[in-house]
Amino acid sequence: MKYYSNILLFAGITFLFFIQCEKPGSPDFSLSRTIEFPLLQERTVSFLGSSDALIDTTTDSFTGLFTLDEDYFVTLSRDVEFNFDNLDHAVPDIIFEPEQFDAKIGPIRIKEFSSETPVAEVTFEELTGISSDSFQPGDLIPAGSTPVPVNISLETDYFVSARIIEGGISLELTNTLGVDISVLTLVLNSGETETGSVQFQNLNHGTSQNQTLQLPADVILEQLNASLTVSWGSQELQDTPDNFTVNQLIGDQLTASEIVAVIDQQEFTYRNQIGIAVDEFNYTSPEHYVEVKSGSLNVSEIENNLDLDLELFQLSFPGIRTYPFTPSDTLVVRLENDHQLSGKTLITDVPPIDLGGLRIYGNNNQVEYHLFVRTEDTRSESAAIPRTVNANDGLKTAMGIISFQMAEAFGIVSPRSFFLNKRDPAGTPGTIDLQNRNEARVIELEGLQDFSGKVTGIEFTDASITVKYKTNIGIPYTMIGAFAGYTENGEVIYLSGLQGTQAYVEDAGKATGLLAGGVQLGQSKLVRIPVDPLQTGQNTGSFTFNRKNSNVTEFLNKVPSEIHFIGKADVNRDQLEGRVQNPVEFSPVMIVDIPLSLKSLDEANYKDTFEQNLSELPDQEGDNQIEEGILYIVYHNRLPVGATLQFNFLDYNQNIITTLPAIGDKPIELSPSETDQSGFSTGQGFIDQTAISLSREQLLSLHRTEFIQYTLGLDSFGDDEVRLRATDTISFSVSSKFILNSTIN
Amino acid sequence: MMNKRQLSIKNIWLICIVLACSFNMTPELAHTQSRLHSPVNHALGGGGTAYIDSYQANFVNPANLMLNSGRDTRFTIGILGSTGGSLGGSLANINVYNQYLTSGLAIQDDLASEMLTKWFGTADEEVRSFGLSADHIPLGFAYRNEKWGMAFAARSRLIANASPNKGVAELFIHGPDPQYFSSGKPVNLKIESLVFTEISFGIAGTSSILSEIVDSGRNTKFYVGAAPKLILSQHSGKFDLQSNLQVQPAGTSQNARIYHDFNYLMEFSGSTARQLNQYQYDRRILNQDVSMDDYLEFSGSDFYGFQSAGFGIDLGATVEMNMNGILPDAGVFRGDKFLRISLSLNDLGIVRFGKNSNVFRGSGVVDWRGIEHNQETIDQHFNGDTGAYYESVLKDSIGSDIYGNFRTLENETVSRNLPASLNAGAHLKAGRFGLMLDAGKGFNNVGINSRRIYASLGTEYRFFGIWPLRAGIRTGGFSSSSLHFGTGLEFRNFEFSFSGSTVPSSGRYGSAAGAAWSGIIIHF
Repeated sequence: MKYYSNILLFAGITFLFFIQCEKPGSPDFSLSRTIEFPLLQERTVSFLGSSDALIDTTTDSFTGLFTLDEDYFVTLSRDVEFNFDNLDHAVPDIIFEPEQFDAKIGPIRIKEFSSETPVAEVTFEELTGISSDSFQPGDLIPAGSTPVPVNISLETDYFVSARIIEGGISLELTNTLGVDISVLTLVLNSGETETGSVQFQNLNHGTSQNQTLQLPADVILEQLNASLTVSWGSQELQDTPDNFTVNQLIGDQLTASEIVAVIDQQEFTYRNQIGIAVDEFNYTSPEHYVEVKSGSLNVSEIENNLDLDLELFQLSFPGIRTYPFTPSDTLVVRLENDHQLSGKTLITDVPPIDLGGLRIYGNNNQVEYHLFVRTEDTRSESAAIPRTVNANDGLKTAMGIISFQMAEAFGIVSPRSFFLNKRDPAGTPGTIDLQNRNEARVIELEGLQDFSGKVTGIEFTDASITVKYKTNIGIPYTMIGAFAGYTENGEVIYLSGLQGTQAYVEDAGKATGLLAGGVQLGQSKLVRIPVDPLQTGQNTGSFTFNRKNSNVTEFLNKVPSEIHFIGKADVNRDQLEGRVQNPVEFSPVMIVDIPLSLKSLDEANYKDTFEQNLSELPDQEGDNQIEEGILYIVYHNRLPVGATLQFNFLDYNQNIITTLPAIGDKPIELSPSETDQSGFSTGQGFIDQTAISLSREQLLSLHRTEFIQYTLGLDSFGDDEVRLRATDTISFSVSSKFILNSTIN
Repeated sequence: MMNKRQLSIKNIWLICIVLACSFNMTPELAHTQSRLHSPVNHALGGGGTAYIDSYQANFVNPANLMLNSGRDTRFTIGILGSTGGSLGGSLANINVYNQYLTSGLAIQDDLASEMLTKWFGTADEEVRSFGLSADHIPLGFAYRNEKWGMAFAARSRLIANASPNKGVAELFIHGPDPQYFSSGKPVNLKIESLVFTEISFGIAGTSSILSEIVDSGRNTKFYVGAAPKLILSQHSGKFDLQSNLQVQPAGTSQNARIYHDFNYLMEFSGSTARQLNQYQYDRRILNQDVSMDDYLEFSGSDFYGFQSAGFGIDLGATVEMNMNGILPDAGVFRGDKFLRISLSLNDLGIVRFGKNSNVFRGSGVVDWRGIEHNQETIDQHFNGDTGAYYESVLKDSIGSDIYGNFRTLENETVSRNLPASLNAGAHLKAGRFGLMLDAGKGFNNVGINSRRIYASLGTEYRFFGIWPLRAGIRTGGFSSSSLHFGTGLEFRNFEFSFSGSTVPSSGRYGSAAGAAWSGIIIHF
């Protein structure tokens, strides 16, 4: 037993030792940790810049949206092209009248009558009535005369007949009779009709004389022969008598109204003008011209009534010139050689002459042309055949300038008015409606769209819209139109010119047909844009709507996201000289300039919503819960604009989950920098801290967030206008403080 | 009425309890040791300097190879592995833990400060530790006769500890709260681990000269022994961070700021050392943008593969005095009586890791005022992804470039001291009753070894001569006072035993627990 008692004693003590030993209980406690952690070092961002700026101007939506002046003053600027569909009406229709002319050959010149020489011979005996055998040289020949006029036939193989208009026939006689002739009388006969005579004095032996026998007008020559009578004095026979010869007959200024003969080469000309319609374009100066884009001179037919081939048919147009368009660069159309016109023919296959690139000068809207014709020389033919030609014979020609398209015109374009917009066939004829998207030119202001609908209450003080254009229209004209701005909220505002300024439409009648919803637009909804390239001498120009000539400030303060434009052009009302090109280039660019000089910021708000899923934040089920979260923002604001921020955290259905700051909490404010007299930030800036505090309930509800909506209530240092520069900066650093509750059990 | 023998037993137990209570009241006077976790010395409160014999004496007191040389069995073999270990320390303060962290309290503000003061004290520099020491003897052999004894044993050891200071605890409890860190506080943490194997050969003998000097060797025997050992290193890991943390709140004109001045030392062996060395070479020398995650890959061979070899030694001396006739021979004290007094020097030596190890040092200052937003870098290298850039800054720039900016200390290899200690013990045996008293002092703070003195008191009673019941108390060391218990069966040719320990109150220096079993020990 004693062993057992010892064992029990030992075991008991041991048991007591161990049951009193410490045993760790199950953990059951909570911790409340404060984690204050700097998140972001001081970061300085400029108002504008690349991705390291408050506004990244390099993003697609902001490209070109901001412009700076030398002071880095920022202007919100958006350039939008808005081409017109209907500018072809600015090109005048140049209409060339068709031309027909009848060019007559006129008086026919007669030259040679015979291909041979002499044309006639008379013997000594026939002429003197003395036998030549009775005398020897040295013998005395007694004075005498031709007993009976000697008639001789004239050899005229070239000539058949002619009705003489004027002129004479030159006769050349040679005396080889051996005696000197004191007087010789030659009477020229047409058949048996005497047409005239001529005397030769002292036609000595061995000499020749020429005399012209003038023919009476309208005499008909045919079957030519002559009667000769001679007289001589007593004299020694000087030589063995030979024949007396008529060497040749040559027409001397001899013309005929009708002739049958072997005709030598004839030339005649004709000149006239092609008329140009004066309805749309006027040449008032020799310098005016129309340059041909395409078109051709078409000589549709030439009827040659002459019984002569035309060695040369030449039409020249002093008013149609090739490059470099000097008078010597006249367009000349020739038909010759293989293409020469035959006699008594009608041709209709003259190839058209391309006028592309040529200029047509037409003073007083007349294009002059000259015809020169040179006929064949029938004597050159091996078998000369007499031709019958009447002075009234000639060429009948029809021609015109066809398929004409103008490349450029310099002159006076007739006044005109037309719609700039392409009309919707479904619309009311003769009208253009601003609300018809098929007719109105819709201008979307990318970049500004991002602001429109998010901004309210901002007043830009110096906004402007500049219509800058590049045009090849060298004539002044005016656009009468309507700019209607549509905001994201559906509000519509019209740009209107102020009375007494260039932008004001004085004559509402010029806007007839410009409608809005079927209602004729009045002057208060219209603007006038003068386009006068003559003033600048350049092909560019611009017109600016500013607060002095329009309500553009009010217009742009609405920050329209879309602008509709309709308009009419009123061209060259004063009929000034100018240049027009086809196609018409008129590339207007609407430049919306909104200098960021702001006023009355007390009412200004910027509101935006972006997508942000915060489902990874802890919810109520987790062991670790953020009891409170605070973001401390230490800032140095050198912007002249401050802001009061409010955040709405929205769920999937965009219902508000929670709002920061909560009601009763201190507002989240960024105070603005002080500004100088010009409205720019003084640069000293404002240093302060603002905090964004979230309660546990707010934090626990944030995990449902799908969208975050924030509102910036803008603020300025004073009531004066403030101006934003690209180089204005804001520096800020961010740290966080989280109170984290952890439950461990 | 109790007889004389009963009174003696009660007196002895009373002495034990009084001693235990007195040590418990003055724990700063005594600390533990980590020489050997055999179930016998563990059950006796970690002592056994004058008690542990056979091959286990190689690691406690080699002179004890001569103990019990008069038994009729001369050989001892240990098989199936003797395994034991202890863990705990001042960091494992269950008392404070139960008081504050198990009853649903909200640990914040003053309550948090009160808890941390109880746990760590008032000074920010205060350090609390949690240690682990375990060993395993797969094989042991001993032989002894009246003149000499020898033993061979192999032992694998694992030593580890973690020692944060109060700043680490405050950072865990409060977070980086400027309320507590605005003026800066030390935040220190030390974590160590060591694995090695000892091949120990011990020899002991009787010092006849000394015996003769005492009393002509009739009643007193003097033994000395030494156990040199080959130390095969397997794994070493060490991370020692010394830093100062300051957190300033955001003001009206300045951002919040975190200022962390730190330096740390890392010692690693095996593939971990090579991986870290390659990482720092690529990053610092080749200037490559690398991530440490891409280099670190756990390898099991770091724990079982041998890296290098070193030497150590255990020394001891024991005086055994015959107490027959001096102590009363009655009751539980009937039988042989003697008193043994021993002194030992243990774990003298160094664990070397040689070329298979590296020492790294990093230092720097993190003056964190937030992420520096560099839009150009974001655009060029992160494709405009700001989030990716921020993550990179935190992970690479802060993580790798500052905290990960360590360098390899050239020509330095890892050498770790063994947990050397000086121990003294006494064993009074009177029949089936035994009483052990030990005290000691560590030469370093490796594992659960401590430079501070420890004391342990243990007692044993053998029922029926084969069933020992052992109990002990250990006070000090890496934890508060602990209670130990052990038992087993010890026959003439065969024995096995086991033990366990725990701490009754960890309020002052933390808790601890331990266990051991002997495997199968055969005598023949």
